[in-house]
Amino acid sequence: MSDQLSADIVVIGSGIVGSLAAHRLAAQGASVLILEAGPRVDRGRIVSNFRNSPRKSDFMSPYPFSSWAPHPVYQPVENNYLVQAGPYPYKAEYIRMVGGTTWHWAAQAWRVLPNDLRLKTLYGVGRDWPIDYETLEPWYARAEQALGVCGNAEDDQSGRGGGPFPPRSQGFPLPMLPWSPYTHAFAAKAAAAGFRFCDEPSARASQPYEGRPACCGMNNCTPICPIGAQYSGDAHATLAERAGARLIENAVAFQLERAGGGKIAAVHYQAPDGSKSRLAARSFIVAANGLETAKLLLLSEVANASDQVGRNLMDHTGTDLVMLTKDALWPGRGPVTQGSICSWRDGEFRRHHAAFRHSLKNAVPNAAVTARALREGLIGPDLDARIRHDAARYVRLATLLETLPLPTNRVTLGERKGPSGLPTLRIHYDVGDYVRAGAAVAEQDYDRLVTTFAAERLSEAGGWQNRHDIMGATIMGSDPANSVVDADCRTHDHENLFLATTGVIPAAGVVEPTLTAAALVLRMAELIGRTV
Amino acid sequence: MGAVAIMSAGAGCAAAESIVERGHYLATAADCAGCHTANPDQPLAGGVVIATPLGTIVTPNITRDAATGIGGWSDEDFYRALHEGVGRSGENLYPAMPYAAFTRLRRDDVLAIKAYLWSLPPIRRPNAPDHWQFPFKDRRLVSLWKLLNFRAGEFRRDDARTDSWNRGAYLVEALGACGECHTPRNLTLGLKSHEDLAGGELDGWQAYNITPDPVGGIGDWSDAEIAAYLASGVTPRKAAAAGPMAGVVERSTSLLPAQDLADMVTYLRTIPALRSRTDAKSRFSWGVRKDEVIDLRGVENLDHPTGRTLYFGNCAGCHGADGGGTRDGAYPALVGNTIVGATRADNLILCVLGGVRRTVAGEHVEMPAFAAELNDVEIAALTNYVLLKYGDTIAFPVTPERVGALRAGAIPMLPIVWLLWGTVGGAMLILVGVLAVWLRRIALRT
Repeated sequence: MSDQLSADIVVIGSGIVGSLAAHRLAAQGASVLILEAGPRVDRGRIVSNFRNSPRKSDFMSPYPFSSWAPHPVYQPVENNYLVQAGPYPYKAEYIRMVGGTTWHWAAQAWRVLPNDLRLKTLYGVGRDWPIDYETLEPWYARAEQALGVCGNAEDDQSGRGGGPFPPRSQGFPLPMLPWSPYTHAFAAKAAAAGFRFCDEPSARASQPYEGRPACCGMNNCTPICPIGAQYSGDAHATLAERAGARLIENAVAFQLERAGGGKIAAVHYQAPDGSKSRLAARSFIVAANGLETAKLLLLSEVANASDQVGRNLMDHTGTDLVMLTKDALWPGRGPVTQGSICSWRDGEFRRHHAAFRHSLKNAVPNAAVTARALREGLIGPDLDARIRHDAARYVRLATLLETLPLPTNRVTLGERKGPSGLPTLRIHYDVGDYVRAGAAVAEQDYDRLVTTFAAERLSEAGGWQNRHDIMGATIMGSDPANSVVDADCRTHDHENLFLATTGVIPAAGVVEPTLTAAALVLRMAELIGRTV
Repeated sequence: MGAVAIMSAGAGCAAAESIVERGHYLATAADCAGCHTANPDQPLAGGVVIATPLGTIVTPNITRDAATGIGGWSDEDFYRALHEGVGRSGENLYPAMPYAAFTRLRRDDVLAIKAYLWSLPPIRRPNAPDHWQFPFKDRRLVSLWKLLNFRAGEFRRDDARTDSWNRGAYLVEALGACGECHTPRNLTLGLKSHEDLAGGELDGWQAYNITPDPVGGIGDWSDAEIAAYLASGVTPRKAAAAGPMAGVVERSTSLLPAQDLADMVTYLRTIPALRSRTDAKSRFSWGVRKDEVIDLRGVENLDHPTGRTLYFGNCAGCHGADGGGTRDGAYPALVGNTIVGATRADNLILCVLGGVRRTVAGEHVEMPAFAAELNDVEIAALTNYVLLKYGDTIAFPVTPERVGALRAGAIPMLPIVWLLWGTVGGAMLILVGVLAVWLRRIALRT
């Protein structure tokens, strides 16, 4: 084992965040190695897997399972890779493959609100970010450029009924994707009833963008966009390779090796056959997703002087409203999600209960309404008639609630070991009173919506749903005593170790965290690029 | 240029427009930018690399920059270049410059184009050298080529024909130089004048037969369909412009007045209808919509994907499981698609490899490139599936080697080159023989 450097920078993880970092740094002339735990699979193969899968609503079924880099599996049988220690099961899904989980992310590309970053100061709960919105804003703009985000810059996304918000230094790189008749119909009626509805910005090509064709409305954003109109991380993995980065597939990082002076010397990884390798570099970027990043730090016993690694685990754990409306609204055309009710995104109420957002789902509901009709015993023409009737009226809103960083919500190394000899993960997660209080208010919205649409409600409250927005387990903060990374995503403990993941986000807000992580990583890459 | 309205209606000179406006219109119809603009920020400053079977040409700067462009050229210099294919110093221009067509331009039109060029800012951009295979750099060979293939002479109005026909002929044969791509070439790379517009090629792309033959050409297209294709790049259920033609529509035909397109159609209807022996029915009339996706379920071996598997994985998202595309043609059907129904699969393969992109009137069209996702064997399997299902089976089978050659951008060696080298080689052999006999005689004498 020589100490000759393998590269200037090793990036662990080739999802959207790692690939953006690798691309930026390689484009600036740094030598970059990317380690990806899983395989490389092209879009055509994933689409074929989807077509062949009998489980169309299992968004993980088209993605190959790798025994050496396991991901959580819940259908048809749970594999218990995430051991649930309760009280509420944290059933996050993620993809371990070149390109990562953005293969099936539905592409919501929101910015947080300035107040989301000052939660403690303004409302006395949770944590503040160590940076403000103004600092982040230019990086949001660059992230939107990189991903090709479409949206409506005129919307007030804070739901306060004011002018365009949050502030933007430039418009969206792509114009808003036209709403489907369903979204129009829902928005009009909801707005008339006082709900503040706005377009959801998304990394979806409303016009051709950098080699991606325009969205053709297949309504298949999850589990796989068949044409690549929806951004996925493999795009920047490929760009990084073209800029000179080298990507090693099926390489599972299992140890970050310490050197003198508080630095990291090398990363050790193993191949599917068990053979192990060591890569020395000047800097290391761990971009291995919100849970796997924490796992690598825990395995390596690094960056954890604060004992915060794995703690403060968050999600946008939520509830949903499913209803059959009186009038036919015809969901299922265009992308699977287009708009949200943002009335409860920010305000003094956040002292007492969680903020939340209702995201209007637009997935083709045929499978769901058919299953329900079959359970009622319908067959033949009655079944056909029912499917036609209900599929035109099936409305689902998924509510995303703001969770707080609680040190007791944590991921730790499990006692079991997988086939590769690496441990599984154990999760303790409770939604907490703040979220429960928010859900109670959301429930009042549901009642009003059911009345507004003269609808029949199909689901009952109480079932918590994981939104797969993994945040907090490698939390960002200015105080090394209670956080893992600083505002630049550099670990407090090791000057050459950076974490590029939604796991650094210290205050969840109510929006999907992908664009925020992309903005943070572009800012971080600029900083590292200046020093390498 | 795209944003500027074309002032002229028709190829005749309207009184109200200035000479510069007319020159702009003419330069658009002649698509000067197609060959002379490599960098959109440096319009007409040259630099486009054109690969020919005889070598690689880098097009020159034709802005009025005195040092690197044609700023020093007189009217006569400019007219001679277009009319006779002769450069400023009297040297022959390589016929990659389509002066065989431009010689038909009227002198006042040529000078209007010059006036337009002189109205633009000069751009300093030195010309890059060409790279010819021996011996084609020698411009004396161009004299020989001209002797065989070139007759100088302006377009002459045919009074027996309508005004529309005459304007159309001028647009097609002089300004548009359509034959440069659409007319087949002879052994010496001259245009086969008796097979006008019966199908040629450029950069590996087939430029299809556009004579009025209903089987070989576009005789079965309505006038409106042909005009719509030139105006927008798309005629639903018939054809969509890809490759070099996409650029021609973007930069030229989509910017021409509707009357010009109608005139071109008028003319195209009257040229001799031609078909080749391999043409069985028109290119857009192949294939039927059929959805096989259900048959596929559960029987696929994804480790050895068939063309059908690859189609459903990579193509069906836009072109439909049944090859029907979208109703509005925004995502084209493969059923009844000229590129799929052609007698050769090269354009189809090139579309899969490099994708399609076209921007007409602010409307972008983009098919992604699959060169990085699919290998030669896979693209061969995929195109063969598409051909058998939606295309002219005479183009079947596509071999991985053909895909590889098109991927590499290989330009096929032309018969003329073999002929030339054969002649040179033969002459050398004879010379060596004569020399040997002569030396032997000398040796014997002494």
